Amino acid sequence: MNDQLEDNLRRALARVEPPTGLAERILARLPAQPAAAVRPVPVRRNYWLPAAMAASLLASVLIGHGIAEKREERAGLAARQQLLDALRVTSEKLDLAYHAVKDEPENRT
Amino acid sequence: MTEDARRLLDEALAGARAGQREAFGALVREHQRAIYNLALRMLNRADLAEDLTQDVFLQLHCKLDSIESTQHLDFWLRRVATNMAIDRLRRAPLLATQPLSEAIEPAVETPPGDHDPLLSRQLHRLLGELPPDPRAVMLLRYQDDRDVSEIAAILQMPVNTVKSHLKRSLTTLRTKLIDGRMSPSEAMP
Repeated sequence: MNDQLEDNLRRALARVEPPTGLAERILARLPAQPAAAVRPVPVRRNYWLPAAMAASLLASVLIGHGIAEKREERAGLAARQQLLDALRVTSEKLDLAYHAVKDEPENRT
Repeated sequence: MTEDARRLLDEALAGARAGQREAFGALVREHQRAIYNLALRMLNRADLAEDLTQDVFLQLHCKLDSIESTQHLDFWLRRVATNMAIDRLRRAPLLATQPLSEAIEPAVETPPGDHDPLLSRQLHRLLGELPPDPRAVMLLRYQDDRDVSEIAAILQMPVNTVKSHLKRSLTTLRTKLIDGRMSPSEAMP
């Protein structure tokens, strides 16, 4: 019984012709340049220009970094000097205060 | 397939991969009938079947580099076509149960020279009532003449699942055909 049903199925499912022009409609939808066949065309490039630009950019960065470092160093030295000056002033004032206290009559023993 | 035919297809595939439009056209013309008919019996509509067939070949055009051989191409086309059809059926459940006779003109519906067009229409309708996966299995078996292991490879399904789908679908079809032939009084126990 299955054999007869299977035979009937094969007959019922025998292929019909696809619509006329189906292949042409498919081909018409293809991109102009086949996607799978696109191969990068080797282009002779001048590498010196971008290399020179990269080198100058690097130099600019390094020089700028150096200048910034120098500026920071000078600022640091200036701050240090200010601190020393402040400490010296404070120290002088302390000396004055000390002597002032020491020379007070009631502090003489 | 003869050796000459296989060699021509190999050349067409190589040409298509190299970007030759005519070679790709040869592949389309070689396979369009099989893919269109698979889509037709899966979706039950000629317009949707053509849309799907076009989409399958457009996808092939993008994936040519991944096609290793004409046999691989054979499997690839059927896998993509059935997966697309199953996906569309799942997204449009009403489509899955639309009777074929209402969707396709009689001249297209049954093959020319069919000695029992009424039975063929019945079988088309009953196949259209099967869920997508068993329907795909039945079509690959009885329309595409694939064996169980090929169907399993195409659908990426275990062999036992393929066998189960075939067995259950044949039982369902046979039962419904018998029920359809019996009058209501004969059907009563």
